[in-house]
Amino acid sequence: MRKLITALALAVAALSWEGRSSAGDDEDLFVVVNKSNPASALTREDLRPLFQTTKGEWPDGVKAEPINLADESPVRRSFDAAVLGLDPDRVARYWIDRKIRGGERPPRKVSSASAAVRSVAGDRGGVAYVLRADLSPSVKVVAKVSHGKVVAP
Amino acid sequence: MSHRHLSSAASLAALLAFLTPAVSRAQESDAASAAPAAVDAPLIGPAALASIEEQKKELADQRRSLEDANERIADLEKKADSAAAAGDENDWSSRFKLYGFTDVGLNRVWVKETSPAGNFVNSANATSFVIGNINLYLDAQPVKNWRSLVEVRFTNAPHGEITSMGGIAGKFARNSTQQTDPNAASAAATMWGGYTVIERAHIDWTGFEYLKVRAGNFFTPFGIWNVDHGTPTLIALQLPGVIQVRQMPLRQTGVQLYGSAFKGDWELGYTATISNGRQELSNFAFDDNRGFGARLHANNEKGEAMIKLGASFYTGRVKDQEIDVTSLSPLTLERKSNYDYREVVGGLDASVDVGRTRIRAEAAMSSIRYDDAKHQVMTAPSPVQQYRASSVETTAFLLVAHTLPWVPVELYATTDLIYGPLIQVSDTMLSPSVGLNIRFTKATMFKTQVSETLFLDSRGHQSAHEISQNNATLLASRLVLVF
Repeated sequence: MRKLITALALAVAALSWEGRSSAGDDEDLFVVVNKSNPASALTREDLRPLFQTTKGEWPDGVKAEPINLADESPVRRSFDAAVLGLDPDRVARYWIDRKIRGGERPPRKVSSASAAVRSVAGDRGGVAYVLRADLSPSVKVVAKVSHGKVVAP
Repeated sequence: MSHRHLSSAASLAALLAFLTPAVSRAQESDAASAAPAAVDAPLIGPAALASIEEQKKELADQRRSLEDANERIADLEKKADSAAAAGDENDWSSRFKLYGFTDVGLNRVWVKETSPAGNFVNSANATSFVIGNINLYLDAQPVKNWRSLVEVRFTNAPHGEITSMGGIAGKFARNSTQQTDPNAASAAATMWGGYTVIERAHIDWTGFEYLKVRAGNFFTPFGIWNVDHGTPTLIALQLPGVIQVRQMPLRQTGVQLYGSAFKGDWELGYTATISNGRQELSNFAFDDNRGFGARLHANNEKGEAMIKLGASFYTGRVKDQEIDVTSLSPLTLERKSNYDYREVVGGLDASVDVGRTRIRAEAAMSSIRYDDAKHQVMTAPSPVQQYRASSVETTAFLLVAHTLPWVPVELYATTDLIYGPLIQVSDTMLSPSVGLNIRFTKATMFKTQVSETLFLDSRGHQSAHEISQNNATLLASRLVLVF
């Protein structure tokens, strides 16, 4: 009987672990660039200055065009936390400070993941982040944001 | 995009996704059946062929219809993006944007009645409600890599400014901008004018990461404060010594080259300026001497610990220019300067953000060397005409701020030092102060600061009692709104 209970407990644990990892997979963000971009993998250190617009070019000299989702988007918040290391309040303060100092403008915002993918597909310098469900063959995945960390795709 | 449009778009997209494999399968089936049809033609009757043709036509129509729908979806999403950008105060990504900040509040300065310096303060020992800043930014990016940024500040100056002291100094006079409104519908309408200050006006070309060009009137890239510049961005309200004594020109008109490159986590940047130099008497140059400046900085903005380190330099010649008529016949003019000096200024600064704590430190040292017989006359508060000596001046400040974990309140303490013979009542001014910033929303905050200004004389030329007469306590509060 004890063996049966142990086996059942292990089975339940395995099932719940399986469920959790597949849910996490769906919540992962995928950083996408234009298919002509020679980059194959980007790190957090590559992405942060692009999305803070302190770096405006790719290594080959092409103008970088980062695309952001709306401030209130949960996907945007996850990305900002993982890549910029900032919560929504600090992100807002960061851009207000930049604006008053007369610094470079923030990334362009689009209203949907499909618009982000379309922008990246149509712009050599484009870079954006989307959920797995929004991925398209028209763009190239160069990084993944999983459990708050930027990892290789 | 409305919910109705979104829902229609989603339905069409779903339909497209569902039908596309079906269309492919139908085509494959057509192709598969078409090939043997040539050999086994008698097996398919004219009616079946007509039906296939009809299905093909129907599928082609559906495909066209779906393509049209896709175009409409794309168009609607584009419009939605534009509408979202236009309505978002933090997204200034369109071609032209207006934004800025306003702050209003109150000031109070407590001074001794016997204080010579304190009596120059306009509203000494009185609480005065004030309009702090009304700053408007006009930011245009009409084409890629080109940007114009103009920042103007609206003020009510010089209304109320003392233009002449009374007593043995002459007749007391105060500036007034009051006048009858010439455009009013009533006969007795009154209006008060005020200056519009051009804070900056420049055009930038941003073609390369490592080389960008800025031309026009810009804030001198020197240290932290002069670049942070605005009430919403600055932590403290009161100006530090480096800005109060204008140790370097606060703004310049000329050309600036700037750029940066990344090395690991660090952004390494430079700025080089060539300008008319210190322009406090005119907006044009009196001669071809130029002001030269440079700044190197290293930034690491990793979120949890942001570090910025900088070193700044500026040198230039400063002179006035007077044009005298020395003879009427023949008309002879003489151009001369009453003062002429070279200034060299260097500074170091550090800015560190760790979690909820922000630290700012800045120090600058300047050398002023007057040409022989070209020393500048000191202005008030000295009642006797005196000339400024060649000198070395030092300023420094340290500010530590911490935001409380449970409420959006930032407390800070700062100490500011000015050391040099520029202060006519002593040679050292020390200003410890404390303050707090309360952030109501991301766009509104309340800031307040109390400081004690202490005058000291390290050379022992004056008695401590005499100097301390000038000590003052300052309170400033502002309600700030960013738009």
